[in-house]
Amino acid sequence: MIITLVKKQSGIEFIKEMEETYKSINELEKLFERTNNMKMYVDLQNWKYYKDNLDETIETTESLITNKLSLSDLDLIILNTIKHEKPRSIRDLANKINKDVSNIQPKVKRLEDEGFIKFETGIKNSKIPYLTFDEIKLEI
Amino acid sequence: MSRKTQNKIMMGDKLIYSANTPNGWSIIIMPDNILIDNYHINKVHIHPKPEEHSCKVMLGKQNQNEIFEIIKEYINITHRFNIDELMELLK
Repeated sequence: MIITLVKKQSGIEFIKEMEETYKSINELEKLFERTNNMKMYVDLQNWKYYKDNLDETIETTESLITNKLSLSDLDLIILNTIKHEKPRSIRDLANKINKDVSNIQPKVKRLEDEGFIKFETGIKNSKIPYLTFDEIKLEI
Repeated sequence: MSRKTQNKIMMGDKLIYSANTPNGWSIIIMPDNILIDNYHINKVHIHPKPEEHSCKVMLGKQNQNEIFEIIKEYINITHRFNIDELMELLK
């Protein structure tokens, strides 16, 4: 089975991601010269393109070939709630789906470890969950 | 308008990236650090020696999707990576 996470990203978002990873184009150029890492070479080519095309939309996919799908019904409810109801913290997420926060926390941690969600810091250091993709595709 | 994509697929211990912009496209196989692309010269080529980026071998296959599928199938079936075997499949 192939699980594919699909995300639409703008050129601006792509560049922000590159800046977080490499700081600047010059740094990336130096790093590539030192390491000959081909992923860096391609990131460099794409960065040069998107810096002049900030409004372009990129469809980004991440696929994993696996024989086991580890998403439970509750995981799907959590993902759905994060996408549509935009909870402001893990506690808020637990409230929205009428579950105890202590039961939700390990689930949310696993979804983060598996790359389905990320967190940004909110008011009073709350962790605001958000989805890292727009669609999940399953191929059998 | 052309479609810009970036794909990443994990197959066992191999991670295959493919990226596509109007400037060209690329496929990378990690951790082997092998790049296939058509940047700059508009003809598909492979960089078989990661430590020597200027070393390029032109390939017969020119379609990114076809090459991506051949690589996926090769790794899926053989569970290994041998640059000579792959170049033979793509020549």
